[in-house]
Amino acid sequence: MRALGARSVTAIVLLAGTVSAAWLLERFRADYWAQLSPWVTFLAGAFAFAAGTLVFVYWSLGERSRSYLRFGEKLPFGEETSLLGVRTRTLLLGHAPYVEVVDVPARAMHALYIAIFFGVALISLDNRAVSLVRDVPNRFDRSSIDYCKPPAPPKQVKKQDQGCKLVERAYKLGYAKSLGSCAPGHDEERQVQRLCTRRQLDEPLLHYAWRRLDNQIDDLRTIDEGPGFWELFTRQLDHLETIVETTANTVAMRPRSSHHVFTNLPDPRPRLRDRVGRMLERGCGARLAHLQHFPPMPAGPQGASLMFEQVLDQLMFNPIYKPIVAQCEEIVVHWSAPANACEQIQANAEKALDNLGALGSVRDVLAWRDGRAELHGFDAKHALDVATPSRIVSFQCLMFDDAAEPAPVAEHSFALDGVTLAVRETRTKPLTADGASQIRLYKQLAALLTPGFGYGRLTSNQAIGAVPEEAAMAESFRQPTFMLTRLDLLRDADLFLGNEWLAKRPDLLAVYPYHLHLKNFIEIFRRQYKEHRGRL
Amino acid sequence: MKRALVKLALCSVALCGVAPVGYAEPAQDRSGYIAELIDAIRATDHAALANTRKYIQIVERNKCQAPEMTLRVGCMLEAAAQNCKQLPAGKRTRVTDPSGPASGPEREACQRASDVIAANQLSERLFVPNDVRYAIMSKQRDARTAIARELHHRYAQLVTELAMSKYFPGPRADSKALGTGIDGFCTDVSGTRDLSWQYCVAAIVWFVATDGAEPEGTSR
Repeated sequence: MRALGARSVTAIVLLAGTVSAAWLLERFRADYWAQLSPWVTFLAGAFAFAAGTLVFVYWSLGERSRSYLRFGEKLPFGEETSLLGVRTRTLLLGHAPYVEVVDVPARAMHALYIAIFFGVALISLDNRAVSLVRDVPNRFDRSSIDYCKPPAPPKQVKKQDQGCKLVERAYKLGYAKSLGSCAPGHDEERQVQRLCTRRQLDEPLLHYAWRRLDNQIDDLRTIDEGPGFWELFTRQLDHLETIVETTANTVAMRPRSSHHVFTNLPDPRPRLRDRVGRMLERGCGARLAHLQHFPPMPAGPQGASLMFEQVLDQLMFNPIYKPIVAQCEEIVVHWSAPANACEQIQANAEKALDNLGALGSVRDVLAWRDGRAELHGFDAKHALDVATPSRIVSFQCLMFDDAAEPAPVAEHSFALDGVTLAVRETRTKPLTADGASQIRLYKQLAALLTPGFGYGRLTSNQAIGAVPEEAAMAESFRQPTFMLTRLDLLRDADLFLGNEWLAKRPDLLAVYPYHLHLKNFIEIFRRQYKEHRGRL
Repeated sequence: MKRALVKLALCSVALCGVAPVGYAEPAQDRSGYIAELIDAIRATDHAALANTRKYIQIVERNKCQAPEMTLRVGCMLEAAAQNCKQLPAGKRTRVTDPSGPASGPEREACQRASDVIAANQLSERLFVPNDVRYAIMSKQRDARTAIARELHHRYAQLVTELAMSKYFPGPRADSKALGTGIDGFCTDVSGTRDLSWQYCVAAIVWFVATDGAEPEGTSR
């Protein structure tokens, strides 16, 4: 009966694990190797040879395995353990002396362990790590320790200037009662130098260490002339639960605000497979930084929802626009929401939000806010830093309806757990594949998310004066010459300010300078958004 | 079989009717125009090209200085168009009979070359921003030449990006394929970066059509 040696199996599994980890961390990419410093491969190779040989020698991995792994039925005699817990044919681990154990040859085993450690080193080491390692001797260099500067050499005494000679002469003759600024010693005012608290050149290390320790203890006793350490500590003990909860929220990077957008558009990712990637994503900044400025609306039933998502991502999350106002998980879009979602919230907030799946996150954020308010109470100076509930919790409804007429955003107040919040609602016509729909969506989402949002000629990148009429500009693009230079005229045709003629020109929309007007629109929106909404 | 052919014919007629007239295939129009730009610059005499460039530079720096972009662009368009109309025939393009009158194709070639030059002139501040310009001016004695060299490097970077992108049709591609590649690349760049499509196209077209030749007086 033959079985595989446990040592060989372990080595192969470890090698497979290392290769998989290296693959996941993109260590096999050609461009990674191209930028890799030769030092990394040299150090990784040296480490792999030393560690692999040490492990191979001291764990006697060149010898035959005592335990083995085999697939079959458990022997009635001998010590074998079923690894899969099934009584029929299964994977067995055992060490019976009469089973022939097959192992990898000793040299191959040595090579396997060197390969494993080489993989581990490649995963752990990169150019930065190697440069840090190489920099270690410099850090311990004596010259880099912070010493006080040696005393400056005495300054040379200035020669008395001609003016002082005259004053002195006048003083001697009795014409002046004092020498004034020419009096001896007057110009030798000592400059007040800051006391150097660093290590003195002749100070023993132990004395310096003691002095540092003494200063730290002094700092613990009083903090900025506020309460002493013990007083603060006893106060904190009274609020230990809140402190732990708040710290846990911070460490777990829980959402610091809870803003909800309800829409009757269908979910653009109804399948679980599509959602898994987003669920596993930690922070969406890297993905959103490469968003297209103005992609056409995708075809299909999810097209409008995908456009909605694109516009919201651009407005709120794309990190290339400043200021940053929210994290991806802090604004939740509720797809396929009932058309009267906002009315339901206004009528019975607790029940409606529970049904819509928003109550939990809202209460979590409000509880975190209360905790922070409690902790800020220790210090009167920071009491005002806690955001108001309406800044960190908000509800918006954007419903698409064939019968919708252009109307301003309606806002209604309601109470939840004793906190007054607001719900904002607007209705609009369904989105179509033209560029005008996307512009309309930008404007409506901006107006919905920011109370009192305004964007006009004064804030636009479009020039205020000497702008040609829309008809004249449209006409100029019908001429076949100077197509490139003529496109510069579009700098003064801000789509967010009208210029509807552009929406009918797909040839111009394809080359429109979105980066100028879209960027400006988003940054103005964000500045206004920050005035009304925020994070904990 | 007949039925299927009739259906096919009806479908194609319907499709033709749906597409808007004038810009039915914007991408094709754009790539065709880019190919024409490349051909026009390649066909133009080096001296004539240098003269046109100098003229547009002078006009942009003097007559066409305006705070409003619309005025500036309008002025440059007017000046470039006038230049192509007024210059004596035979000095603008490398034609078989230089002494003959300016014909339609010559005028078109002049207009296309001027279009690229004017667009490049308008994008100069973007490719060499003010901070870089000040740094060059504080270090270099001949700042204008140094700025032109810097501009050339920026164009070269853009062309390198094109050559490394999926849009590059290959080193032996004809103008048409190159035009399609440049359009695709520049649409991608303008859709994701802060660079207008026309600036990207003009920079690449100039570099490619002049075979990467450095501007006069900048070669080391």
